[in-house]
Amino acid sequence: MERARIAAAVFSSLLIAEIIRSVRREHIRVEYSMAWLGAAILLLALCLSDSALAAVGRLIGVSDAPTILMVLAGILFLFTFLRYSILVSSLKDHNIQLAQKVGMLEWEIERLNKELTNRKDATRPPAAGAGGAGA
Amino acid sequence: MNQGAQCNSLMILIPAYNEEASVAEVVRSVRRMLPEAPVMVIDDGSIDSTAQAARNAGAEVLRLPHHLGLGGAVQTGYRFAFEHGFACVVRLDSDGQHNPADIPTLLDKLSTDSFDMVTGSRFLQNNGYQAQRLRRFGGWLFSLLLYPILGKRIADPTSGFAAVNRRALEVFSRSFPLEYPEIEALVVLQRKKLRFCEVPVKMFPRRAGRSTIGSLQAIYYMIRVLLGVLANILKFERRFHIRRR
Repeated sequence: MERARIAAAVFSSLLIAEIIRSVRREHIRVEYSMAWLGAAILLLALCLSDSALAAVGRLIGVSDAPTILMVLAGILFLFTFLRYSILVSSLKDHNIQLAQKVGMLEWEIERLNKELTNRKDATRPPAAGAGGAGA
Repeated sequence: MNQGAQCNSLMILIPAYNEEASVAEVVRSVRRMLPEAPVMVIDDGSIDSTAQAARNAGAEVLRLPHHLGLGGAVQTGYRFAFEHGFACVVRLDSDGQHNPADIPTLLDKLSTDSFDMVTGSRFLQNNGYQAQRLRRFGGWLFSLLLYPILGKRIADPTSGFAAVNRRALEVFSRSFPLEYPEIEALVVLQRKKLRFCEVPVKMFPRRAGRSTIGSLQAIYYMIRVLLGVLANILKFERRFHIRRR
């Protein structure tokens, strides 16, 4: 096996191990590890299988094995990146909506607190001696 | 001014981010002009005493838990106004560039000619402060680019001085651009087939602080806005219905 393929296989194995470790420690949620895990497993499978690598090479018109791996790794990386950009955008939208809701609710709480204080002040009996009736 | 005749319930919206030096005077001048209209300052996560200054000047202050950017702050105000049943909102900047004396002109146009949004333009009549050359060029360029999209010429597409009615509030409370929102907002309205126009207003140089768009950021601004406009044209339409008149 060529050195580049061995290096790619080692890198893919390390990536898989790191993803599994991160999931176990809850640094990555399972649903967000899927894309990375899928890409790493696919890369590893291609490193280990001559026929699969040759088939992919024919598909993209490249005959050199290391180049096939590089191109494929690049494509997988871009797709994974795109997926996470979509996720980040969605999270940002949710974050904005939540921040707006929190701001509005805080305003509402402040308003209710003010109203409550005003009502308490209005219903409080006058303090003893107030009014200047004199003893 | 009798705003009741023009707009059943009006809210003044002032987004502010670290504008402690100017926001109080802006609030006071609006309150002098329209003493009955509630003034809502959206404090976009300021780290100075913007909120306190606005409150002391007589405004209601809605504080966001963290900085969202101008579009996020303005949309908060629109959402608030829509959810609280306001019939129209006038938005002006917290840096003192907009003249509250022009608010009646915006509201007049909004109600008498059945527009959904009326913006104040500093370029329709060359009176008052006219911005830097680069910004004027940017405005002119966007005006040119927007012409085929909007079907009409908008002289000052970057103006943040705007009056909107309830239909526009409904649209903006659901869909409003986050960064540099003014130009994209026009495209959003166009997509929803709402009507908008400009009226000439007088603008002043900002009272204090610096603009959020520096010379270098102008390039990013232009690319970002162009992409935003393109995205809005191609946008997948989520299903929600605007009440027809």
